[in-house]
Amino acid sequence: MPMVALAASLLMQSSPAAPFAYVTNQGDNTISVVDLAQNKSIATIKVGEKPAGVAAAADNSRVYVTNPVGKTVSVIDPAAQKVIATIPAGSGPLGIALHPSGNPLLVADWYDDRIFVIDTRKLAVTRTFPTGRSPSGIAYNSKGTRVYVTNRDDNNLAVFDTRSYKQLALIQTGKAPFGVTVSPDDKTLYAANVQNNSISIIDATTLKVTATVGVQEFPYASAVDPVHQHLFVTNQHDDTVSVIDLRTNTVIKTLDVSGYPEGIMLEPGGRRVAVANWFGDQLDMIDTETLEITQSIKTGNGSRAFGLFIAPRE
Amino acid sequence: MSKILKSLAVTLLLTPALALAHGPSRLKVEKEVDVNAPPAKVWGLLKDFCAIEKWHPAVAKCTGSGGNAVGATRELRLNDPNTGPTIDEELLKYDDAKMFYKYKITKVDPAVVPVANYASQIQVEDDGKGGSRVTWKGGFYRVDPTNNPKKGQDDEAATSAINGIYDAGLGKIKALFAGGK
Repeated sequence: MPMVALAASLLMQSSPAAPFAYVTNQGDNTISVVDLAQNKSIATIKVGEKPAGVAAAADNSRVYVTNPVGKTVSVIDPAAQKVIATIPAGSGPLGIALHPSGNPLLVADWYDDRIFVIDTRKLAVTRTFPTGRSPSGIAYNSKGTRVYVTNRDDNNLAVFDTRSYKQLALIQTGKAPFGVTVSPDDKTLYAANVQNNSISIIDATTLKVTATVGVQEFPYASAVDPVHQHLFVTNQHDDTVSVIDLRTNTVIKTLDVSGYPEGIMLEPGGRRVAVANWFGDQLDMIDTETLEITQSIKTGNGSRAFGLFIAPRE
Repeated sequence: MSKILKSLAVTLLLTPALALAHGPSRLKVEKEVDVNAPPAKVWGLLKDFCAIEKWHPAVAKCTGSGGNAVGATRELRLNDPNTGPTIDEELLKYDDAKMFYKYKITKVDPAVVPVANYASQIQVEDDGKGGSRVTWKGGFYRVDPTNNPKKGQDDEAATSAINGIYDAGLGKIKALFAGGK
């Protein structure tokens, strides 16, 4: 047994260094594995029914995918490029976040208004805790001490302690908050308000909304570029990405992307932002210096990538 | 809390969620048709937001407001110009150079078109052979947001309705230019 464990850890260490994007393809019931160094899809892995959310472990040892229609979570071994377990999770698992240490995994149940806590060693649900109506986005801070959940149909964001899962605060956002993003320094939260086309910017210390910035139709998710102090926001119905300057809280650019942009994340190293397009069926890569699309990488039908979908990362 | 009160509380808590939420799986339909006419001619037919009454067989009458400016609206009356059911739509994006516009449904009876949160785009492109390709694509949800949708308000009903609408419209566009006009 120790030999097996040793072999496994050697395998992980020798896995390629290129960051990979794991893109859920809702229409194909697959994920595309995209090599971001080569700008191409290198594998397609069958998962559950209508995959949407994704959480890649920071060290690239595991990838977890929610299948809202299949009502399961697929556990993927990226080195072997296969599903190693499928865990039933309530009525509509969608939002998903992995603790920075790799354990546990939290999954938001859209229909039953609760969060599942999954032990990633046992690969089983160990407990649940309640939240507001239609929880959508879920994100940890980098220390793993707090977890933030947007309750879409309550128009608020819940703050939980990650030891007790006690709700510490409830912050009013705009209408129908979906994706939630934590800044790399843990100081700020960003909630995308789908139904009033804005972003709520929240101070994670005072737990107060400090600004609300208007974007385009149906904002869905966001990504922070800490070097340039920009926030990138996907606007689903507008087929664009808004770039907000976080020093002035104003939109400095609105870029056309290929269609129904959803999941968005900064590449490790910060050179580009990857945008998954549900209608475009591709990743559009935005250069963080020039704010132009420099590459587009074909993925599968109905690409969503809702969550932290790129690994390995620091 | 008594058992009855407790179950009432649970019901009260759950009901609004069911009323407001839509299911997490959005649906899409994408259709295209090759048309035997140059893109400028085909776009000439499609370009006005309210021109749909000329190229869609189910639209008996279109009443527009705001022209082709973002925020413009149109009311489509189906089947019969006076008594038919209506669909209200709003223009979201308009690009004359790229020959496309995007719009959303703002009001429709689910018995007429069983979709929710519907947004769509129609575009004319050069097929590189002297003709055009028209693409019509839409993203939407089923009407019944619950986890066990009623028949007629499920994914299948929504997808089949939109497929029918797109096929009919694109079929007529193709037919209108069939003689290479």
